[in-house]
Amino acid sequence: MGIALISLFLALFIVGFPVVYAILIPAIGYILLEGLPLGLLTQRVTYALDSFPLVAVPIFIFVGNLMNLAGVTDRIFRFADTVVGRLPGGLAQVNIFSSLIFSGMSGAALADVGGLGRIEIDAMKKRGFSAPFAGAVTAASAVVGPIFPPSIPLIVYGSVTSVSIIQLLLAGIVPALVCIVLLMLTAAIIAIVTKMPRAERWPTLRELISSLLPALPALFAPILMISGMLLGLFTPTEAAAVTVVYVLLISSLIYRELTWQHLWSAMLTKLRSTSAILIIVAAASLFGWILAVEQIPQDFARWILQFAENPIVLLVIANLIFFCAGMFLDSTTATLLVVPVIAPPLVLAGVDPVHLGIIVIFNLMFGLLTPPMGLSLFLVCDIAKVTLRQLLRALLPFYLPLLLTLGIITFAPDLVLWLPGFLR
Amino acid sequence: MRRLLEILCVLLLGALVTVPFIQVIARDVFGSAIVGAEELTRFLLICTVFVAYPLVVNHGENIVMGELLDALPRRAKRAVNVLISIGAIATCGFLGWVAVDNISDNMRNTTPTLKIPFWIFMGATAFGFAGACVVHILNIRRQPKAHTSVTL
Repeated sequence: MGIALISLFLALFIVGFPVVYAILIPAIGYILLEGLPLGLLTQRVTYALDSFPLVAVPIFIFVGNLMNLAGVTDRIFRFADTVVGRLPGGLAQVNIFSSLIFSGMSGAALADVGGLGRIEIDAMKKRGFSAPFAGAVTAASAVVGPIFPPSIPLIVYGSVTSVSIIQLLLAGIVPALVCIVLLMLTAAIIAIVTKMPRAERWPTLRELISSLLPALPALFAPILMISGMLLGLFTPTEAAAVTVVYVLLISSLIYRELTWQHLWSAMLTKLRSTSAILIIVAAASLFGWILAVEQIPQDFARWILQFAENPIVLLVIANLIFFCAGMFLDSTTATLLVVPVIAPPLVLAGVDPVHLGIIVIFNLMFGLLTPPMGLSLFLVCDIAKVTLRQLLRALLPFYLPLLLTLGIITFAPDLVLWLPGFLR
Repeated sequence: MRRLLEILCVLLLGALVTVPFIQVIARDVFGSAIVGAEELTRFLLICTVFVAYPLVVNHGENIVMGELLDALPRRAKRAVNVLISIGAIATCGFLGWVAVDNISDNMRNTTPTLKIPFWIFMGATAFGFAGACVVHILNIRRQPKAHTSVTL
């Protein structure tokens, strides 16, 4: 029965049913066939959202959009241009460095591409970079967004697996920094080989300060959030709320670019995004419950543990599974449906669930850069006005640092677990 | 009607941000946490998600993998779209009905701290699915959007 349910879900999903219905239709069929009380359907779906950590999801989605509208992204870009614009690769380095700063306030990769990405790609094209290269740098660096706190996918992962969300968020910091360094190195090598333009000189102290001052309020947002969580002043959900209020304050008192109309439109757009994502979370909870009743995770655990019990081998298998899942499923669906089945045997074999969370989300974010469901690719193609083939060719060298980061994350758990270790 | 729903949703999102923020100020600045703030926030999340769902359907923003559908010949694509519409209407209508039925069976239940009546939670679910069902019926000629980019 369990296999039939999963097959029906996959069939409906591939045919083009909205994910929420592709999940709900087999679930309703199961409840009816098994003669279970119908009340279970709506109770499971409704109470799946009765979770305080999940409240952070709509709030962080809102923050990303708010920053794009409030002019925060422009200031971040100008500051990054002054600081790293002289490095080989010039604006390519600025692009990567800005993504890191932006990801400290927004937890979504596509918010980075759609907001900051537009500014970065336009600026790079104006300074003589090819459009596919500008798009490739933007898409590759946006992968870092959901790894560095705050991260919406990590919050969803934490709520599915009941793993400490603060620990997950902290665990993402070092891998994100490693990834940024590797991406910057790659951009530098490409820039030196192909003689790409860069700033003519290093900035003077005066220039540095004059670009830092307007960006300072924006740069303080991630510091406020991370330090608040580390000091135990607030939970991730409260941190999200504090960040929204902080961004609203700096945009109304300092930047003065946010209008009521902007705010209204940001709230409405993000409300719909929130509802579209969390309704899947709700439906997946019902589906997950049915899979548990059918003992699917236990069967899978027994099956996979036949092949290997070594955590490293299991992690390699998990990497392959989640890499493929990321290619075909969007990150929320993959986290909600694949994680509950794959995670238990790995944790049973001794893999740390926080470590696993970072591996899972990194793989799923990598999926944003791989066809056929590479949403970052489609968005960047649209912004940079390039074909998918041109973008993929320009992206090729950037797959290497991303794969290297994935390798480091997988085989160096101490690096990932170093920061969360302070809370254990 | 749509405008009213939008206003209600924006108010709910505003409250969703405000309650945890006030809780931080109350606890960390004034040293006295608000009892039940967390429960209220969770309640607001449930209401926000379900009440906003008809708006999602209306804007064609359900997450869909539309690659195969896009590649189908015109007639086959139309047939699949009809099938999707029927599936969506049946699913939402059925869940809306089950939620209403659930409310009538649990009229006296409330949340533990703030005593928020159970019917409000389930009412939001009923409203969300019933509203989505109506929107699906009204939009029966509109195709579901492919590549909806709300993925994180």
